[in-house]
Amino acid sequence: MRLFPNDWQEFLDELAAWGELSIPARKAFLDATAPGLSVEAAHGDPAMAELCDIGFLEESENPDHFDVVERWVSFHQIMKSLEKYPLFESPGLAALCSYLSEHFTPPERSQLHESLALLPNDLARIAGFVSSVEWLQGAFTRKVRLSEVGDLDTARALLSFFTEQRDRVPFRDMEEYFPDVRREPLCDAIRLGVQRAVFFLGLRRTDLEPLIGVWPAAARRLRRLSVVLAPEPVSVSQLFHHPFLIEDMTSLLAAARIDPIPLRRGDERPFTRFVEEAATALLTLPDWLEGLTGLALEARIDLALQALRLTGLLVQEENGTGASPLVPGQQAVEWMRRPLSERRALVLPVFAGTHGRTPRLFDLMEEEWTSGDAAREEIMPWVEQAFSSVPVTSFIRFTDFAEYQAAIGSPLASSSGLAGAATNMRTGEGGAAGTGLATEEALEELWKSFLGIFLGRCILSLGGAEAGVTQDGRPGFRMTDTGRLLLGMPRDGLPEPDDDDAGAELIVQPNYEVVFLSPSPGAEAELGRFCERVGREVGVLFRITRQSVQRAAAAGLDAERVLATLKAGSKSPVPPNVMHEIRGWMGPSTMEAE
Amino acid sequence: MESVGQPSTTGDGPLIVQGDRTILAEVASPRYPEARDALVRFAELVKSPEHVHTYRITPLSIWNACAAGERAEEIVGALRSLSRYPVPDHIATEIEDYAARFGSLTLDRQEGGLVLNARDEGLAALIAADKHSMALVGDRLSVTSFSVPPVARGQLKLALIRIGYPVDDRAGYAAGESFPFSLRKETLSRARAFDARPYQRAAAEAFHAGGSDRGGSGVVVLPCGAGKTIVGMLCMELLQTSTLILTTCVTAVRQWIAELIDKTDIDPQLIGEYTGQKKEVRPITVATYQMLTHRGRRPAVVEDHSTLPEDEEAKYPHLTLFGERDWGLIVYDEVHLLPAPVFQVTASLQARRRLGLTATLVREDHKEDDVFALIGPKKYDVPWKEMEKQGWIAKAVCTEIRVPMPAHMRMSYATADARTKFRMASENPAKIDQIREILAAHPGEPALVIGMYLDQLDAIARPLGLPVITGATPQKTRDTLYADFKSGKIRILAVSKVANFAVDLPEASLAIQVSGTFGSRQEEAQRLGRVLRPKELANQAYFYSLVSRDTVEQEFALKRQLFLCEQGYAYTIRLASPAAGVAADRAPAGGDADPATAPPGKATA
Repeated sequence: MRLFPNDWQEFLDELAAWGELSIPARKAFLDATAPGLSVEAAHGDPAMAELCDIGFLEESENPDHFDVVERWVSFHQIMKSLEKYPLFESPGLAALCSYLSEHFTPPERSQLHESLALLPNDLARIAGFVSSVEWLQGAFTRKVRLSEVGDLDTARALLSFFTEQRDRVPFRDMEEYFPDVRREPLCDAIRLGVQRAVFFLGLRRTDLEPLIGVWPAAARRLRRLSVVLAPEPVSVSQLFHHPFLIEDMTSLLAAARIDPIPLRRGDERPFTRFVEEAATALLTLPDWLEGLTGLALEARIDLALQALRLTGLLVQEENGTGASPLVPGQQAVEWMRRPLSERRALVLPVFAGTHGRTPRLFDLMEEEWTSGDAAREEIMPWVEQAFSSVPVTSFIRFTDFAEYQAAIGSPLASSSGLAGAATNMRTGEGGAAGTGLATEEALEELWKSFLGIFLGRCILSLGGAEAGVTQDGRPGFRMTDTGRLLLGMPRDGLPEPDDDDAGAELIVQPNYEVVFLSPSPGAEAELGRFCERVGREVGVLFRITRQSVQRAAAAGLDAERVLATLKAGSKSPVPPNVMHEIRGWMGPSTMEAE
Repeated sequence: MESVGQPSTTGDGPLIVQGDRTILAEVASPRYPEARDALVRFAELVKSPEHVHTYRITPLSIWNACAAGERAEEIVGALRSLSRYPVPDHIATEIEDYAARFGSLTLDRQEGGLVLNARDEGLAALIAADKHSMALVGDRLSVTSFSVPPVARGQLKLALIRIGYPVDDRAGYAAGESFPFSLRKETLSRARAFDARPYQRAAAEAFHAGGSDRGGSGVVVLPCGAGKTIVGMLCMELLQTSTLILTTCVTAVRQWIAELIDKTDIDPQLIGEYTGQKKEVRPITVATYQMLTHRGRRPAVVEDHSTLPEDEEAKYPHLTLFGERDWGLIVYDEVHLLPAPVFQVTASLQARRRLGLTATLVREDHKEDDVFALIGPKKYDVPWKEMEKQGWIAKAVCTEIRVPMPAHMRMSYATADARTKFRMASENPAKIDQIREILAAHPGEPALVIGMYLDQLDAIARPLGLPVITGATPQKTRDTLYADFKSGKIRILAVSKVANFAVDLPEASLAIQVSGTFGSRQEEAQRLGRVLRPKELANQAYFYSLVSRDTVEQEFALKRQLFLCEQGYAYTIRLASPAAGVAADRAPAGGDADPATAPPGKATA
């Protein structure tokens, strides 16, 4: 802490003296310039006299000049800095940013919370964070040193006082509010809270009285909330951030290029045999992700076909009736040739929302959810609001998120008009649905599962969120910039969590095996386009065979593209014999060129 | 939670332990040398392509480690510390389980008889329930022990290892006929100081184990060229007993004999050769496996009926050799090639000391269990560092050269049937110019030109003036040619495929394969490793394979390419220089005489 008292007990004592001063005297004191420099004042100025009487100032050698008494120099500094950033007077984030930058050193800032660790100078984000309801809820629950345990209890008492009674009080009165707490633990708890940016110090402009409290807006919001706590940041492992929908679209399109995809006459869905065959080509999602999103292989094929039709990459053959087969659209071949990042960039605008409206993203939901424009209109803002609350910088548990969202209100539960629509949607066999009278709890559950499905189909699928597994084995996630773009929110300009193949650690062996030293869904999907899969996640994942390479050639890949992919991901040089054979297999024309 | 692919940490370990008990080792990792030296103790090397090597943990590899004194915690600990991701729990459990089995059964000599002791009642019950092992044991002596008739010793160990329990055989050995001799301080031939290398002594001592029953049977694993023969002789010297040495071919028999004469003070009269040509049985006898498993027409004179299973004896009369003397030691050279009938006999020789020598424990027929049960566990492995220092791991550079078919042959190739196509591609006359180029690029290297078709070999050898060895070349001519090749009088030899199978090829640092496959995959690598012994200074050997471009031959070559890569050879593919193609267009296609009917004695020495 840069300017804050080393000794808060002493500060309390000093404030007692401060309390004796008249307001003009206080003002005069704060007008005194930097320490060591004298204040010029007319002799006989009552404020100056008062300050001198009480011992804050003394006359300097220069006539009509006053110096801050040595004893009060540090108090003077503290008060001046509080004056400079009148936190509670204009509690905009700008003031909070200045406050954080003034009082916290960069290491202190980065230690505020693990998820902020990389961004000590990103004051706006830190300010946004520490002024949030979530911050207050998470305060004093994080790990502490053993010596702090006692302080922590007091700090919690202070916090609940601030959030439940008043969000800020004159610092001087703290002892009065907590008559049962001895001075020392009280000050220790205050120090803890201030250091953690839970309690803030400000100066009341009217009487220049130092205040202490929590961020008022957050406290106000918290006072309204029920017992369900907003999701706390969690740490996750096994990160997954990959636009698998783009990959799925690519492999289906590749299949459609070879043979048009026939549709069943009745429901215009692909035949089971096609689905089974296509499923073998898809990249495997981690089990926990499948569980979270409900995206089993069949569901992913449906989703990918839906997306392909929405983007016009697959179209129905024109001459036919309703069930005529799907064939690649005009842009398809060109699109397929491009690398993953470009393929995604071309698809994103189709689904991304504008000005906070995200109707087209909804088209990726299953039909049951999207039928009925009225329902959609009503649900949409809720979805947007829910996901816009998800942090970009830290992960939250999905269950926490869903619980919280359901608790603060669900469009299905709160709107009577929608309750009926909701029962039509997905409650399926559920008892409440059967009677047409969904209970509030059932609708809440429905809302939670809606959020999970939306996250999987519409956001994660396009790389709009990053997911991982928390320590207790449950899925967690956070939004990415792409996700914000999809929801029509302003983008943060944050780099995407991992750029496509950057994290790949793979080795192409001279015996045509490809070994993954670490999991990399991006590289996995790219290689899946021209290799035979033999394993999953890490180890020997692929074998490059003539058949697999020739199949890729038939789907429009060329040797240079394939080799570029291998070279980009490979930790060691691609063996010359492998390069040679791939060129040969992909077509004699490239071989002649040598 | 803990399984492959769910990394909780990304360490710097070079290993990835997979759920199927295979282990991937990243060669480029700074900790790879550490990993390799750990793995050699308890895992088998499956394949070693350039960047990532694959090892496998098997019950046998664990038992070998246990026999060498390793404990399960040490093995699992080593894996954990070297692994990039958490070691799957079931792998750790399996290792502990395998390790616990080793030593749970012991074979001891008690009151003059053999007794099988089980660690606990449950295991004894398991044995009693197994009909194969029950048929071999005698009376049940106690809840946990069985008497064992001496003749069943080997068969029982085999039966028990088949149900997953190795037997720690401590029942001891017959001393055998005493045969005193000593190693020379100076070799006879070159009068050079002779002293075994430290690791050779270490290997011999590991085998001998101070003469106790803890040692006396097992396998020493040494790479080609690391001096297996010397380890054999050191073991013989430690035991001072009559010895039967079994090896793969006549040339190897002669080499053994020459070495024995050169490096020991044994009277040459007391060393016998037991081959197709000679049938000498002396205190030290060297024989070929081939001879032992030769199906004779006449019944052999059998002196010791008790040691041989009757049916085997009838089929293979020469197996009686095992019973012809009171051998104190039997040396199995190249134990990975030990033929099945010899296993059968070895099962009845469990009271003899047995030394296996090999470069690899892996057998194409997967009879590693038999080696473990009947010869014994692995006794010694050379530390990699030592091998590196000695240059045994220098590898050949393999180059595949794709030679276009001459224009005038392309049409007839395209319309030919599959069998003819292969032959046409193999005999592509354009290959001759490539051979010239290669030979010119490696002046002075001892070189072999290996081909499948005699006509082709002839067509190549004649203009280049090369002597040709085929399967029909008499041994005498062959010996002369080899001697000349060894001395440097002849630099290049053309060898047929048949000759390649039948004889032990001399060492060379350059091999050019013009047609055909080099043998079975295992054989191919073995031979390549042996033939392409790097020269002492250059430390580099070359293997060229000439393949007709865009033909079926390329398909066959792909299989070889994969295999050689998995063996760790660097493999490059090159297109033939255009000049070769032009020249080939002028040359007419070769004839189509069948190699089987070709006249013998094509050698031009």
